[in-house]
Amino acid sequence: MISLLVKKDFLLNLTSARFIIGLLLCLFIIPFTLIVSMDRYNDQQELYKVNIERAEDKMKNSKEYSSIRPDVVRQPESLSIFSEGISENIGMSTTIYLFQYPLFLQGNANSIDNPLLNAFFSIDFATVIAIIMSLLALVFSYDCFTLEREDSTIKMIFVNKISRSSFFIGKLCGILLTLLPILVFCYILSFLFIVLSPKLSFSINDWGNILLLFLSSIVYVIVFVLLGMFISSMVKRSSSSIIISLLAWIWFLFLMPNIASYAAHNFVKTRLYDNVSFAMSEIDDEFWKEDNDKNNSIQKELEINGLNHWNMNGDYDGRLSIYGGPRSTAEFYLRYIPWYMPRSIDYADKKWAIQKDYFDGLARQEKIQQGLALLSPSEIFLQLSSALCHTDANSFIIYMDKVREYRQVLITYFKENKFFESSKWFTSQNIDSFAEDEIYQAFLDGYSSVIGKGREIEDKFLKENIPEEWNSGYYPPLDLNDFPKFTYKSQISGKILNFVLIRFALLLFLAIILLMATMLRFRKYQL
Amino acid sequence: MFKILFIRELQNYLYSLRFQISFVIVTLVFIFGTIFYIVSTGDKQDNYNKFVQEQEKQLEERIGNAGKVAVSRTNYILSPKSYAVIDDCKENILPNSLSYSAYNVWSFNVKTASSNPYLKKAQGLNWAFIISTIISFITLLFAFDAISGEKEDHTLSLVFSNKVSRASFILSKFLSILTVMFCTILVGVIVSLLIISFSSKITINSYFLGNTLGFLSVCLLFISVMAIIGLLASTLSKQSNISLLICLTIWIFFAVVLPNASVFIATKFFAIPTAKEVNDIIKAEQDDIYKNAPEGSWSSYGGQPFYPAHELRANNQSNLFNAEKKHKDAYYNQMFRQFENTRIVAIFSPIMQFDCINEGALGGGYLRFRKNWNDLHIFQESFLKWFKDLDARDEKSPHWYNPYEIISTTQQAVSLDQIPHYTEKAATLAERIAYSQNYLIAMIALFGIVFAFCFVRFLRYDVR
Repeated sequence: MISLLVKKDFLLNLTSARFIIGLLLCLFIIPFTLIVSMDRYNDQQELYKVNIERAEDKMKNSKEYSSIRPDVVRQPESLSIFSEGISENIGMSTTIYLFQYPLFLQGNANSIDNPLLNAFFSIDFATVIAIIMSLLALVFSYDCFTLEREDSTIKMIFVNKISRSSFFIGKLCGILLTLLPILVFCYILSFLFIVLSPKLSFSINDWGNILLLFLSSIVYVIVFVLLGMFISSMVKRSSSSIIISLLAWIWFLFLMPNIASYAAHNFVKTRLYDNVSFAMSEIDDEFWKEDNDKNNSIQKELEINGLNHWNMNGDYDGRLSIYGGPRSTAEFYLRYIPWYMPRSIDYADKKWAIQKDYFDGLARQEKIQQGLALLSPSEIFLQLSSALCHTDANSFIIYMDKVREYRQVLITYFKENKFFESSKWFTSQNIDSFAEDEIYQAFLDGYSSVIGKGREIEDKFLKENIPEEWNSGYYPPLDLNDFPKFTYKSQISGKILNFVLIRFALLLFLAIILLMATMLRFRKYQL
Repeated sequence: MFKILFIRELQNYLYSLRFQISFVIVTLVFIFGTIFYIVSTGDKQDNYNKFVQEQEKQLEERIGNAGKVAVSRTNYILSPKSYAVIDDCKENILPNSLSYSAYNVWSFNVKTASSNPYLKKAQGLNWAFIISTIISFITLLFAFDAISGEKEDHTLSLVFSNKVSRASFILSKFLSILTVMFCTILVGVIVSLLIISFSSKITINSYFLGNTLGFLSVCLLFISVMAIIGLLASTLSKQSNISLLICLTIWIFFAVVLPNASVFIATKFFAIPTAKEVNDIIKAEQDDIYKNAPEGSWSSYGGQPFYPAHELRANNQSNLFNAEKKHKDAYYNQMFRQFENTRIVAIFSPIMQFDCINEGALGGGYLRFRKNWNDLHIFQESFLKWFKDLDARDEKSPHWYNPYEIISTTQQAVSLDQIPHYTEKAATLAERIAYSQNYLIAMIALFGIVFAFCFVRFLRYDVR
């Protein structure tokens, strides 16, 4: 008897306008979303290649160890075509500096370089499933009892030997049998896109994640079907049922995520990052003061009055490139850098305490938002999807922890090889080939005397007086074969697996609760 | 007869379950949104004040050396505004930080973590969000069965057995939906204003009330459009559930598909070079400058401003600077055009039109950003002139201007009040009207077209 009921409902649904409109909606939106997502993924891949090339170029051209600042570039997640998560908020690469811990990935995660486009929102497969399938589930289920009651067919049915639970199961299966082909159709479309795209490749683990995503989608659809049935069992008229269902839909899909996000910002206060930077710059000031004293004391010890360079380039992170100039300056750096670099690393630790406090605030905000959003089944599904696709906050937090570990590995490498104590830190030039101070002063006097007498005379003077060793172009790049490299492979860690399973269990639990509540209500339903 | 119909419709709606639930939801969201806003606005203001104080402290540290004042880059951050409770105009995700020095307005950015990067982008619970997302949806829920529902209940034929014109009927339906929805909004806004008035963090002055009135006028037009779209859907079918599906499809298209397709449209139809391509061009030009720079252009001598090679260094740095500025400025203009072109899509969605009109009416969002960008360029020129005048009077300076370094220009001390200070000017009424007018015309035109279509459809509607 149940199979008859299922067949009846299935056939009725199949020939209904709502099925055709629902299918057409999916037929239009799903391919469009997939095209947009794949296009974005391809852009990300292109950008990834460019970033990797740039990072390798940087490394290849380093001629002093101080110039080595490896760029860590995060590989785009192929699964992001299903769920983009927060990847659009997070950049793609970061440069490892010794004077500061990396906090976030910088730059754009895709090839959109225009910050103004940040004002527009984007959509992904999981969001479309969350929006459309929940809507269709409600549209198919809102009148499952009320319509039969309005048409008085429910009485006719129960004239036969049919139990209420059989009728209920028949209705549920009939609706699911109508909706599941639409859901399967969406996944088949995505599968076709993946198979036909030469740039996309998935590992076995990724396929496993897609399967889990599909199973979660089924449970998600069941939750909304049961919600619609529950509402239908609570009211007598279809017009009331659809209004309550749709208002519940807009509450879960559009209001709850915003309320959760807005509330999280209010429950946990965070500072403006610029103010965090100011607090860090106060520590920097403390360091510069100490640095100034040390700088002067070394100059005093070496009896030099001001540093003089022929070719010098550098920055506050200890990047220093020196070629040519008086030998006293080179000797100064040989004394100064072994103090400067370890000290600036100590100060980076101090700054990290401030950064960490800020970062912890953001992480707490994210936890509260996620917790509050669990009140919406669609948010549970979306959180689960982004975790499966490695695009949720946890995945990025774990990644950044690895990046910070890599910075520590670099520091150990520099220390173990004693590069801070070596002239290799700031020059490839042999210390002996820097000019004696008196000779350099004589050269400068000579240079001053020819300046203004025409380019030819100036060039002739410089050609005669400047040795080739004073130019960085004279030296080959460093051999960095043994230099530590950053490696990372996205995978579902225990923490993320836990996160996924809890959400999956929550969806199941919600479905069971709704199933029991609806069955209880339907037992007492007035025919 | 129109009056009777109107009152009947109004009563029907007011006693309906949909009104009661919607009213509770909308009022609750207005209350939540306002309370959250009040709590967060104090923090935002405190954070901003602290930022301004710190920035002044940094400036004070530089006043011992005018060169440092001129060369150092300052970030100008757009301050939080009281209109954010009405509509934040997406200012937390639009560029809100402008970097400048006396030599250049360098760049614009969305300030680091102005919204938590670990949270998905979300619109705030401001009035505009409530109207554009919830009220637009509820308006369609009120209108979808206005005609087809009456037909199903066979009340439509009954109504027309009396002396009722079709025009009065459809007009009464339209005006009753409009009245109910507008009253719902009005109650929400009044509750919100009452909550705000009890808090000391925002002052309700005539400017704020003016903004509120402007916003309510835009709301009235917006819900008119949504109501007439709902009525049109109702005249397109004889069954209310099909009308509902049409309404839902239209809403999803306006609220979800079109806004989310914008980035794709921008990158496909209004593509601009990537930052890498621009940087490569700049790099190629700068490499050329490096190659052709006379030997000694990178030479420096601490504490000796008149060291002859400093002039070469200043020229070299200026050439590098000009090469970068030329391409970057052109690139920024391309970005502005790309954004503006992409916004043309808004013409097709009343929800996006509503957002754009509000931006103009409040003088926020992109309008505010562009005004600051343009004004900052004017300010930067006067800032550079001030520095050059100061430098010209200093005999200890060789006057070799270097946009990046202080070694060959004046290093004399200046007082804090001497230094030019940039202050933001609000957009004028004319600027606001100019910004919103196209979207406003589009919305009125959309209303006119849909209304005419709906009217014609209803004239031919089989009421039996």
